Amino acid sequence: MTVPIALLHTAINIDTAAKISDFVQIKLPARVVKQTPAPGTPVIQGMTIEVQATSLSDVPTFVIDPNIAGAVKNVPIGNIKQLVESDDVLKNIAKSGVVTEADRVVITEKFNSGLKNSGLNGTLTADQATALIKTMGSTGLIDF
Amino acid sequence: MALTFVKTNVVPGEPVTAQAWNDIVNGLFDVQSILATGSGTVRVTLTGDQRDIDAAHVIAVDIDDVRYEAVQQVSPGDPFVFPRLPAGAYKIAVTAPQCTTGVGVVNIAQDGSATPNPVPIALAFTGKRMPNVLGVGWKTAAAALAPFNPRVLDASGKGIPLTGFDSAYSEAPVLMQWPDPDEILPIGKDPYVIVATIIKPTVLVPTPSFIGMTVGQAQAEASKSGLIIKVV
Repeated sequence: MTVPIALLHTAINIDTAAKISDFVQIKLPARVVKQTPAPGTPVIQGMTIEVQATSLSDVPTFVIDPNIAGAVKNVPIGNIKQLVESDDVLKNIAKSGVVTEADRVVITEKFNSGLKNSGLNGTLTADQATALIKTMGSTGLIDF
Repeated sequence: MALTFVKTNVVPGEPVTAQAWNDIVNGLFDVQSILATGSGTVRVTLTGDQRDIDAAHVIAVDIDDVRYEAVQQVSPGDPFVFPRLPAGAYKIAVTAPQCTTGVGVVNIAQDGSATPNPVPIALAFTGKRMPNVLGVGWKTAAAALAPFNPRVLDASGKGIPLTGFDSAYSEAPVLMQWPDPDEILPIGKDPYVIVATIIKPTVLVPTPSFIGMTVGQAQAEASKSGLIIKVV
């Protein structure tokens, strides 16, 4: 029996495709995460540099810190980045790397609020929130 | 004046007749006449480029189209010489490669005297002589070679124009040329020269860091250094 080729593929539902399209449009643009040759290597003019680029919206947070809290380990880095960059308090803490007792309360509240607004279950403790903000600040992922 | 002499010996004591004596006298007279006739020496002096004179052929043609060739001069400035031409009128033609044919006339009298003597003839070169551009930088050589429109290649076989060439060739020396310096360019042939190949130093640039940039930013940054971005 001959099966038409078209039937061998699962057609994506139009509504589903639209949702995916919406996500693609709002996700962070792809950024270079690897290049060959490495920076500083002398090369001949005209040479092609191969780069690997990906959107931080596609990379879960545990990739940059395997010990990160379970509540956010599968949250895309892009979401954490946007959350930090959209809040001056968080951004300043990430930039300075200095966390006071008062900051710990603020950080915890803001992160847990962000997780809730994103429809995610779970919350971060003060220590986990502090570790996360320090990680984000030290990785260079936040645009200050 | 035909000379017909029949050898007739006599024995000792035998008398010689008047007829025989007269034959002897007439025969000697004929010999004298022949020996005294047409022994003229003609000199031809050439003016022009010594290189053309050295390659010249000087020919005399009598009224019967008999051709005589002059002996080439021994040293520059010496005339060409016809050692012995019979009396009569001659046209003299001087030929040399890519020169107009020089012409003259000379008359040799019965007494052997030539008029004029020497015969002056000028040679006029109408061709082209290859200049010496060996070792000369191409910028200078190209100007000298412009009238010759030569074919020009560098040592790697790449063609080079006479004008509008890459400035890197300006000081590249000419390694070879045809024809050789001062040689006449054969009619219908293109001269050629071989110029040294230029070697352009490779420009190295340090690879910028594109980490963290968007692909568009990386492409813009790469173009500043003459690099190309390929996303893999």
